[in-house]
Amino acid sequence: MTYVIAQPCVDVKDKACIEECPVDCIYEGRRALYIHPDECVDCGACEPVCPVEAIFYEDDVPVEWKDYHKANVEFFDDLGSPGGAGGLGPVERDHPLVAGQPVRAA
Amino acid sequence: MSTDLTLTTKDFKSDQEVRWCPGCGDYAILATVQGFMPHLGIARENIVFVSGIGRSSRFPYDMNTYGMHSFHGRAPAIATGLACARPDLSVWVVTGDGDALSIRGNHLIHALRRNINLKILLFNNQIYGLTKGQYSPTSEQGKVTKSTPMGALDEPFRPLSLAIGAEASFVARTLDSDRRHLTDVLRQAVAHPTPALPWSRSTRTATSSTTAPSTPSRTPPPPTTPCCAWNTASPTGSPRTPTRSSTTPRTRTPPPPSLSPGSAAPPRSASCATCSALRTTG
Amino acid sequence: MNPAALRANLADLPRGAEIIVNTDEFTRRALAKAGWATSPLQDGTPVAYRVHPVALTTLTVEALKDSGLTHKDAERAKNMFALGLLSWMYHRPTEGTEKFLRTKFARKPELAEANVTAFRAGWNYGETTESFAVSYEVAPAQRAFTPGRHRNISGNLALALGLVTAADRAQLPLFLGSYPITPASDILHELSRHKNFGVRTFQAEDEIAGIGAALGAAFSGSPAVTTTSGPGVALKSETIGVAVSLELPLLVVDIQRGGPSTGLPTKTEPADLLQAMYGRNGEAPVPVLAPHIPADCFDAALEAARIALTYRTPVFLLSDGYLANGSEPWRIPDVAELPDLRVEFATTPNRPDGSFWPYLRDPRTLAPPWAIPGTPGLEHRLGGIEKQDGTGNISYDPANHDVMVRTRQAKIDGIDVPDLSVWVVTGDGDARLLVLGWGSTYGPITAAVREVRAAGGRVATAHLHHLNPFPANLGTLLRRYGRVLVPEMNLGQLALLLRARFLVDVCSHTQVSGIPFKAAQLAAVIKENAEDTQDEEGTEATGVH
Repeated sequence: MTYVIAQPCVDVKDKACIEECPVDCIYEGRRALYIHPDECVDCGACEPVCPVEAIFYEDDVPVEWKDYHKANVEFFDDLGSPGGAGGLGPVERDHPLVAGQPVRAA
Repeated sequence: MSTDLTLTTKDFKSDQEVRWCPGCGDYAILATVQGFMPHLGIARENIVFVSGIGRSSRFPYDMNTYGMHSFHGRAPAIATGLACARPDLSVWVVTGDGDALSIRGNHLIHALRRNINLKILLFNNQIYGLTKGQYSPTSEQGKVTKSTPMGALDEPFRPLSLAIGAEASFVARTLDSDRRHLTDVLRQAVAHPTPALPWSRSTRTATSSTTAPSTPSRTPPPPTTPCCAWNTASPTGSPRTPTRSSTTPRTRTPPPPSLSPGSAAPPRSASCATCSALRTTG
Repeated sequence: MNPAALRANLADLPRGAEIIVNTDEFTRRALAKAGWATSPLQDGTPVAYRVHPVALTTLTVEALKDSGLTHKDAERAKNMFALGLLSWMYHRPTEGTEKFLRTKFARKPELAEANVTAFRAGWNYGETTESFAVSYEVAPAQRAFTPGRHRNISGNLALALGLVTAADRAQLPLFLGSYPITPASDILHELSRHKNFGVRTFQAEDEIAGIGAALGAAFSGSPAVTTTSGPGVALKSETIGVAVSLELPLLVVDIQRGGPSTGLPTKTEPADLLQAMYGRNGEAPVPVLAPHIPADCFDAALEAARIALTYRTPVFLLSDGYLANGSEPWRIPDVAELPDLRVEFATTPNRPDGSFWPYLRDPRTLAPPWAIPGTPGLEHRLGGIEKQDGTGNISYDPANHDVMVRTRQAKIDGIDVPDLSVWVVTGDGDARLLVLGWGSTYGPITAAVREVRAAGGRVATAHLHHLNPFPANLGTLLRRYGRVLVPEMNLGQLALLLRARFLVDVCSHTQVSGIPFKAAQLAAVIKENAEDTQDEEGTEATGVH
C-alpha cells in the first residue's frame, strides 16, 4: 500500500511533505510531487501537513482523482527505485496526467 | 536453509494495523524487513519474532510469521530457549534501547556471549516512547525529559561497545531511513555462518561451564550469534536534529557512512516528531 | 473526534444524549478501521441521540489561517475549539481557561494566541450556530465540599504530593526508586520536580533495581518509596520479602491496571489485593491500604508513611488507573491538620552491657529500633536469613523461627487502624443489607446506593481503606447485617478474605472489564439484594451509626 499525491499539488509543490517523510520517498517532478509506491512505508506523516490536502492514502483517493494513483506509480517506470529523493534531485518531467493539467492561476 | 519458495513482501505483512506514530522510523524498518524476508528462502512458518515491551516491540504483530510479544526485557531469554529447543527455526529478537539496555542488560550480554543462533534487532530512539518520554540508557547526558527535568546525569551506553564487550561475534549499526544499507546489514547478519549441527553448540556450552575442555587448545567457536544494532539517532547537523541540552561537552561518534552507492549526505533522522518532541520536552 | 471513538463509546450514552462529531475525521479509511462500511452519520445509526455534526478540524484551521502556524500545527488546536464549544454549552467561565493557556505557553506566545483563538472560535460557533439550541448551567457546589481553598487534583498528583508531605512531616529526605510503567509514571515525573524539598528520585534500569535502591535508601534512614503497577509488583516480590525480613520502612505504591501479565495498561482493575497480601514466599505479611477517590490518595500516602515509619515495615498502597488519572476538587489542608511523622532513630545501645540488639522490639508496636549507618556504636548487620529474636544474629533454631514468624505477623495485626464507619448516604432507618467496597469502586457504589435509597430501598454502605490489618470492628459490623454485598472489579478477592477471616458468607458481585461499574447497573443489583434481605427474618439490624 502507499500514499498518493493528487491534483491539488499541481503547480503548488509546497514540499512540507518532503520535510516529514522519514524515508525520503517523495520525489519532485516539474509541476508536482510524486510518492514512490514501493519506497513509501505507509507511516502517514505526510498527509496531515499538506496545506492543500493533496495527499491521500491509496484507498481514500477521491473518485475524481483516482488516476493519480497510477500517475504516482508510472512516474517511476524508468527511474526504478532510486532509494531517496535527496540523492536523485528534481526530475525535469511530469506524468502526462499532470503535464496535461491546466496551469493553476496564481 | 534455502527452499524453492517464492515468497513476496506481501506474504510477510500481517492483517494487523500498524500502530506507530506517523513518521516513525520503525515503519521504515518494518518495510525493509518485510521486503528482505522473501530473500531468506525460509518458509514463513519457520520464522519466529520474539519481542519485549516498548514501541519497537509491537513488531511481531505486523509480521505474518510466528511471533511472541513477551514481557519487558526477557525476550533474549525466551528466544534462547526457543532457539535451543528448535535449531531448525530462524529466530529473531526485536527490541528497543529501553527494553534491551535497561531491564534486559543482563539477558542481552549473556545471549551475546552464548553464541545462540539469534538475530537481535535493536531500535534505538534514545527515549522511552511507550511510557511517554522518560530518558533511556542511550539518552545523552544532560537530556531533559519528564523524569529528568534537570537533565540526565548518567553516561549513556554505546550499544556497539557493549555488544563487542560481551563477545558478540557479529555487530552492526545502520540507519532506519537508509533502506539499502539496512537491507545489506540484514543480509550480512543472516549470512553469518551457522553451525551445521546446532545441537552441538548447546552441548559444548554446557560442558565448558562445568568441566575443563577436553581439547588441549581452545579453538575460538565459530561465530553464530549475529547481533545487529540499529541506531535511529539523527546524524549531527541534520535539519531534524532535536535540540539537545548538554551540561558537559561530549564527543559524538558520527554514524557510519551509508553503503548505498551514490548517496551524498548521510540520510536524515528517522525519529518521528513524537519521539523528538518527547526528547525536547522537560 | 473520530469514528473509532464513536463506536467505542456509543453504548455508554443514554438515549437522547448529545453527541458532537468531528465530521472531518469520518473518512472512508477511518470508518473502515472502525468497522463501518457506510458512515453512521448517513445511515442513522445514532438515531436515538442528538447528533451535532461539526467540521471541527476545518473550522479550527480556518480560524487560525492568519496565525502563521503550519496546517499540521493549526490542526492540533482542534481540541481547544472543542473546549470552547463545550464551555459555551455548559456556561463555563472562560477567563480561567484563557489565563491557563497564556501561562502554559508563555514562552511561545504565538502558540498561546493560536490556542486562545481556537478556543474562542469554538465558543462563538456554539453561540451562533442554531443546531446548539440547548445549553446547560452548572451551579457552584455548595454542600458537596467542605469550605476552604480547593484545587483540582488527580490521584497520582495527590499521591506524589502526599509522599513529599509525609517526608517533610518526618523531617527526612524522601527517596524514590522507580521504573516507568503505565499508569504510575506520573508519580516519578512529579517527584523529580521537587528537589527543593529534598526529594531524590532514581529512575532505575528495571523494577527490581528500583525497589532495591529504595530498600538501600531505607536502610540509610530515608523514607523510601517505589512506584509501579501490577507487573512491577510481581517483579518486586522478592525484594518486598527482604524488606519484611529486614523490617525496614518502605512504601510500595501499586497503581493497579488490567492484568494478568501485560494485560491492559491503560485500563483500571483493582485486582492486586491477593498479590499484595500473599505474593511472597513464606509468611511475609505486609500492611495494605487503598484510597477511594483521587483526593484521598494524598491522605493514603500520609497514612501509609505513618504505618511504615512507626512499625518499620513495607506497606502496600493500592491505587488504580481510574483514581490515578481521575481528578476532582481537593481542599488544600492546613499544615496544622497534618500528622507529625517524626521518627526517633536509635542513638544509644539498648542493652545493659552497652551492646546494641537490632531486633529488640518496642513492646507496644513490636517494631525493632531503626539504627542507621553513621550512628557510632550501633554497627550491626541485617539480612534476609532468619535471625534470632532480639540479637539479630543468624539463627536456624526451630523454636526461634516460629517465634519470629508469629512476631512479624503480630506486629502487622497489631497496627493501630481506625474503626470502620458505616456511611449513611441519605435519610436513616434500618438496613439489613450492607454494601462493602474498597478502592475506586467508592464512586459507583455511592451513586448506586443513593439511587436505591431515593427509591425507598434500605441499604447501608461502608468502604474499607485498611485491608491489612482490617479495622478491629469489622467482624462485629459484618455480623450485624443480614447480608453483606461486596462489589469488586476482580473475581472476588476481598470477599475471599472476608469469608476466610470472619466466616461471614458475603455475596460477591464482580465485573472484570477494565472499566468501572456503571452506577445504574450496580443500583439494580443492590436493589435486588436489598429487597431480598428485607424479606428475610433474622436478628434486628441497626444499620445507622
